[in-house]
Parts: sequence; C-alpha cells; structure tokens
Amino acid sequence: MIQSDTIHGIYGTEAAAPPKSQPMHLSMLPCDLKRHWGRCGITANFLATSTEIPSPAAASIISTVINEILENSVKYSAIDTKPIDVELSIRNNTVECEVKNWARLEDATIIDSYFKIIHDKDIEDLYFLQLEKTATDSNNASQIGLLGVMHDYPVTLGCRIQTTADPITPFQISVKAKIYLNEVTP
Amino acid sequence: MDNDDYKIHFDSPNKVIISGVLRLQSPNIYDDLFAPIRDTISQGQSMTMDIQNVSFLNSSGITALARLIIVARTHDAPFFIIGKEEIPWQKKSIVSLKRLWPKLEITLT
Amino acid sequence: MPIQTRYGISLDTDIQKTWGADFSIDFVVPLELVSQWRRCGLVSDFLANYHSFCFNDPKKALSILSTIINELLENAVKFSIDKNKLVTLSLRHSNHTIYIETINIAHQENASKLNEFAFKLDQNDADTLFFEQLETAATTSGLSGLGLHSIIKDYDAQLGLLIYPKIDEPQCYEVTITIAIDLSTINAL
Repeated sequence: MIQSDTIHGIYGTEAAAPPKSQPMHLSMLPCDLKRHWGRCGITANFLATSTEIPSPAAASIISTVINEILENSVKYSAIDTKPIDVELSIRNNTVECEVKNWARLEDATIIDSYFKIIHDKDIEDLYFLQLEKTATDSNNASQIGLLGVMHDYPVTLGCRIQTTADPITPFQISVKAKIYLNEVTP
Repeated sequence: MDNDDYKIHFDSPNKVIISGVLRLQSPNIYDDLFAPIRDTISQGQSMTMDIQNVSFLNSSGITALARLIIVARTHDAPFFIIGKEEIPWQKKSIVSLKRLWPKLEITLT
Repeated sequence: MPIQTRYGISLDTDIQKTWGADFSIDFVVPLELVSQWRRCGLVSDFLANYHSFCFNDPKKALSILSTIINELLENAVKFSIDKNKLVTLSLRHSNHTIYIETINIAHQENASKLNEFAFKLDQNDADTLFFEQLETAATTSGLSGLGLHSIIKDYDAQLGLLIYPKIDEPQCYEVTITIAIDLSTINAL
C-alpha cells in the first residue's frame, strides 16, 4: 500500500538555495520517446549542454545521469499519451533534474520498493548483486539504471509518489537527481 | 552492424571495435547485437572489445556487457576491454565491472 | 483601448489534450538562459532533431525545422518583457500538419505591430508583403521584422495570432504566435 504522498531520498531534505535561473521545463509524450528511443539521449545531451558547464567531461556525466532517469521514467509510464515532465535547475554547486510520469499501481509499487531498498542497503553490494542477477536471468528490465547512477557518479537521488484523481494512472512518480558539480569537474 | 548512431566492426572473430553512441531501449536488444561476441566466448575463445570511441553507453548496455563478462567467466574465456580514460562513463562504469570477474582485463588508454 | 486579437489558426497547448497527435513536445525556456546562450540555435536544433525522426529524410527535416523554430524563437525572445523571462514553445504534428507555437509577454507597441501585420496579411499576399517589408528593413535601422514574413512566404505557412492584455498588468500583452506548415511542403523542398 502506497501512502498518498510518499517520499524517498533527497525529497524533503532540500536546502532552499534558489536556482541560478528559472528552471527549464519540457513536456514530452512517452509514445514519442518509445517510438524513437534515441530521443531520450538527444534530450539528455541537450539539457546537459544547456547547463553551460565548461568541462565536456562534466557535461557528459550530466547527460548520462539525465538519460538514465529519463529512460527509467519512460519505462514506468503506463499510458503513452500522458506526458513526462522534465525540469532542470542549475544551482551554485549542483544541477538538479526532476522527471515526472503518470503510473499505474503496479509500477508505483515497483518504484516504491526499489527506492526503499536502495536507501536501506549498501549501494556497492546491491549494484553487483543486481548486475549478477540481471546478467543471468535474461530479464529485459535491467533495473540497474538508477543503482548505476548512484554507484558510479556523485549523485543523490530522490523519489516522490503522489496519488492522482485518475483511475487508470492513480500515481505520479517523480524522480530527482542532484548532481554535485565540484565532484564531476576534473 | 551499423546505424547512424553506432558502428560495430569485427576486425577478426576475436576482436570487435565499437564506436558511437549506444543508448538502446533494453538489454535484450544489445544481446542481439552482441550475439557474435557471446558465441566466441561461449567456446572459451578470447575476445577483445575496443570501446575507445563509444561516447555513451546506457545502463541497458552495461547490463549487456555484464552478461558477456559472466559468459566469459563461466567459460574462462580471456576477455579484454580497451577503453579511453577521458571518456567519463568508461572511467566510472567499466573499471568497476572487474569486480564481476577479477580476470577481466581492462586497459584505459 | 487595449488590443485584443484572435486571428487565424490556433492550437490547444495542453499537451494532454493532444492525445491523437502524432507527436508533441512543449518547452518552457527561461530567457535568461537563451540570452546567455549562442543559443536560440541550440534550442531550435534540439527540438528539430527530436522531431526529425517523424520524417523520411530526417536530416533534411532537421535543417528546415531548425530554421523555422529558430526564427519563431528569436522573434519571441526579442519581444519578450516578462519579468519571469519565460518563453513557451510547443510543437505538434498531426494529420500531415506541423504546428509550432510560441508564447511570450510583450509591450503594447509590439502587440500592436503584430496586430497590424495580421491585418495586412489578410489584405495582401505573402510575397507582396515580404518584399514590402524587405524595402522597409533596408531603408530603416533597427529590427528587420522579416522572420515571420519569410516563414509565411518560404514555407507557405498559415499564421495564427492571439493577443490579449494580462489581467494583472494591462500594459503587457500575452502574445501567442502559431505557425502551421503542411508536411508536403517540407517533403517537397
């Protein structure tokens, strides 16, 4: 059973430092992203470039992180025609990207349990357990994306699950990644 | 096997050069692309993967790569990955894959 | 007397109401970023690239779409006075037509010029109007105002305008410019 407003990770812990500029906001349809999966990457690259981070290495990491949370959101979008909303804010030392999608109970439950686990256990062990598991069970949903982001990069993640009035997609899932710039800049 | 985004070229049955951007939808799509690599290592033969010019690989790709490493581990097939230090995802994600199989050889140029 | 105009085509910008559309994307661009940027071009290239997969010849489509989106975005950026500095850009692709729309907040002077432009477009053909504007631009200093003219002329585009005063700031106007282009025009280029 998911509470009407469930939060994990960085949600609710944010310092109120204002963004350096107004956030950028994109609304896209899951059907467009599923039809041409490369659109996830195009979007991630664009958003990473728009941050005006001078180092190409940092931009590449930002793109990788945004791509993973966007791909994750597309996979858990139940209805292809209900938008995925992406918001990008640039703060002094961090870049924050939040991706929000409409979801069914089953998908919201999966994400809820996933976040409970990743915030309770040791990421290092969990990542390799999951890699072994997905490598041997030929499952098509690798579930490695968000774990990989936390394992490999200076990123903290959060998730918020809110109830909606829509009976088909009774939940909205928001996943936010906070990327620490001083740690991605060589 | 080419695409606008990436190229997969077999230099020999034991060496594959991959370049471009690989951000495919699921691990199973990668499994199809990597089938010839899997066939070689399943026979216990060595494999060198040159990924120096792969600028992006998503987590589905990392999963597919982990699957190959585990096949190599099972058949004790020498497995070499040549990457590039300056490509952030390679430095961050590839090196840690050694934990799956300590005999995996990773060279970052 | 405040200007209030509804001219030509319009678009439902609520992305959720475009369920039947073949393709939809909405983008709220903070102007501070755009003005720091090289950079309307970067936004235009991204949106055009994102959309280009809908076409048989994506590279050609990318180039044409980027040109058109860039003109509209530059136009919106030039005339925006919104203190929150946001420009909204929407793309829809439905029934062989591409719709591109920008929304920005403008001063009365600009709203009135656009209003005049719509009126002229109703009375003249796009070619005549374009060359008339070209003469004016060549002989006067300042903004050329050719962007919209050239889109309408070169791509046989239909225009929609929606102008109304903001309730809380009646001297400011919300300006919506919608452009519709037939797919066959792009494919034929």
